[in-house]
Amino acid sequence: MCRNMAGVWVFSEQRSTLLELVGEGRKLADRLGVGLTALVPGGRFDAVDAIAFGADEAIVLTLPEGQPLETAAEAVARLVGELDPDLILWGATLRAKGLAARVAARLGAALVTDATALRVQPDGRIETDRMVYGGGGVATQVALTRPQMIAVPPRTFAEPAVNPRIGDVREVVVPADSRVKVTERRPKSNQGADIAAAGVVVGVGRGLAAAEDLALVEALAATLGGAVGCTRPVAEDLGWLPEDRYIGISGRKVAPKVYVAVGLSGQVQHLAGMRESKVVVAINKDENAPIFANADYGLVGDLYTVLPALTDELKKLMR
Amino acid sequence: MPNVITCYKWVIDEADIRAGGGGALSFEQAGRKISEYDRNAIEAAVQICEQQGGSVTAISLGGPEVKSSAKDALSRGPERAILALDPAFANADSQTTALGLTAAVKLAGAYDLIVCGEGSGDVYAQQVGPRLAELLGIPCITFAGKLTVTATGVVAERKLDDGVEVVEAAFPVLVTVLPDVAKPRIPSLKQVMGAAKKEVKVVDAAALGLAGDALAARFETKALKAPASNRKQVKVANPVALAEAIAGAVR
Ligand SMILES: Cc1cc2nc3c(=O)[nH]c(=O)nc-3n(C[C@H](O)[C@H](O)[C@H](O)COP(=O)(O)OP(=O)(O)OC[C@H]3O[C@@H](n4cnc5c(N)ncnc54)[C@H](O)[C@@H]3O)c2cc1C
Ligand SMILES: Nc1ncnc2c1ncn2[C@@H]1O[C@H](COP(=O)(O)O)[C@@H](O)[C@H]1O
Repeated sequence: MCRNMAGVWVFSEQRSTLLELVGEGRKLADRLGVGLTALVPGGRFDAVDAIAFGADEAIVLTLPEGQPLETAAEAVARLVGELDPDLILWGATLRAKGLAARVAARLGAALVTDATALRVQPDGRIETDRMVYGGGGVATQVALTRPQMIAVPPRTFAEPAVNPRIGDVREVVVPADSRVKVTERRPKSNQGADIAAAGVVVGVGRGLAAAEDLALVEALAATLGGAVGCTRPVAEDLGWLPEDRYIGISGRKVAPKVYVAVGLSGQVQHLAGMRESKVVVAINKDENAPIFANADYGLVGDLYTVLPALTDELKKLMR
Repeated sequence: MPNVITCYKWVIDEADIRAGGGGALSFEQAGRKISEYDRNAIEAAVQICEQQGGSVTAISLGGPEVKSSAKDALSRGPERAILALDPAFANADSQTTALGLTAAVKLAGAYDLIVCGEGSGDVYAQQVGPRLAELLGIPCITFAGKLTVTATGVVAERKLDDGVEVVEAAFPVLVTVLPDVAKPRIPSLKQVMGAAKKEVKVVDAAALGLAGDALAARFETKALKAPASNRKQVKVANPVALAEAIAGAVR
């Protein structure tokens, strides 16, 4: 049935991302006429599910207690050396990007991180797009090394449908690295609104003078039934909003019906996360702010006078 | 007293890039700068040695133009710089960069800690740090938002997709840092003047033992274009007009 069981591999330590990659990997494997193998650090349940959603086989990577995921680099590189896959798709979480880079270094191979598009070429290689220059450019590349390695952000591909098969699950035990030790893990608390799901997003930047003034932004968002997002410095430097609210090349990607940019300059790194929005509206006191060239409607003005008036007016209009 | 190495990239200032005809990128007027978050990495390295003794070596790899970066880098506190300069290093990919940096690190002598940025401002591949650690055969901790140096190693708080992970590692170790780790200083006039007197070692690919496969292209780049953007760019005069535009779009 399959010419080469080692054909396409997918890897993710996150269950949902793993299944997305299994779905896409299945299509690619069928197209290339090869098998699909899931590499699963998450354990046996995830491995069984990977097969239920379309993988031909799964390899469970069992990590010793207290070791970071990246400890698996040597074991994964060895598997690649033995089984010679054509293509590895990695779920581009921060952990897996580091692991993939380490595997790639061992193999002397190229790795595309955060690919935004994959296209199969007639010769079976994959052409990828990714953002460069902070989002100011898109590079289209084909890797010349083997295996092809591409890291794709979570939620790039749709959740797959069940596509059950019969396949083997085997286990590879990763040896511990005595030089590193995880001493604590503090899971993220559920921080409320998922901005990627909102129909309207109000994005706020450093033009806001104080954390209390977020109330102005929240009032506007509430009027529109939307969510509040922000630029990276508002979350990271100022800590006014949780880090899963910042939008951009290194943050969340949003594509709402309307994106309202408030007191943010519109640097390319931010634009990279909201470019797919249907309509973009900007409020900034600097008429030369780059956000205006990337907006459909712009108002030059002080957010402290504009927002209250805008919210009032919208309350009337949205009734 | 830790010996610390910090790696920075001299990148094209992305704010200077213009989109020309057909979406082609124009770099004509573009200046260069130390990649934004590498300034935080340099600062973190310098603060560690200011508090605990030891010395900081800054390393950068690239085309001949990287030579002019030394003054800026050294005014931020490192004692010396090693510049791996070669026309073959202009636009080097992550693996060539890591191979060159591996050889440059060996020139720097004994070290305890290497600090890299989380990602470079131009390609933002987030790969060079982990690749360099792997090629040197040392542990690597990525995405550290906090970094503490002890007598024998580091404790780092990694900020990851699902929360915080605290990792301890023994020297020698490589850490990639998020900008929160340290705010870059604005060098004083004295620091800028002092930088001119510091040691700068320049080496090329041959001196680093890189040739053939190490320098060969690992990618075929088929296109490099500005992302498509065709916004209306209508300026409205007041909040009432803006409200109407928004209400229209929401419906
Ligand atoms: C590798 C890398 C990755 C990055 N990733 C991201 C990312 O994912 N997301 C991101 O957002 N950034 C990212 N950045 C940072 C990015 O380059 C910018 O620094 C950041 O987006 C700027 O945030 P800002 O617009 O809030 O602040 P600023 O650029 O300081 O802009 C503030 C704006 O507010 C306006 N303003 C001030 N007061 C008022 C007022 N009263 N009323 C109205 N307007 C006012 C000003 O005119 C100005 O335009 C990244 C940077 C690097 C180097
Ligand atoms: N050419 C280079 N010279 C020195 N350090 C580099 C170079 N390229 C990348 N680095 C380091 O590796 C980090 C990650 O870069 P990248 O993998 O390109 O995103 C940067 O923040 C730097 O610390």
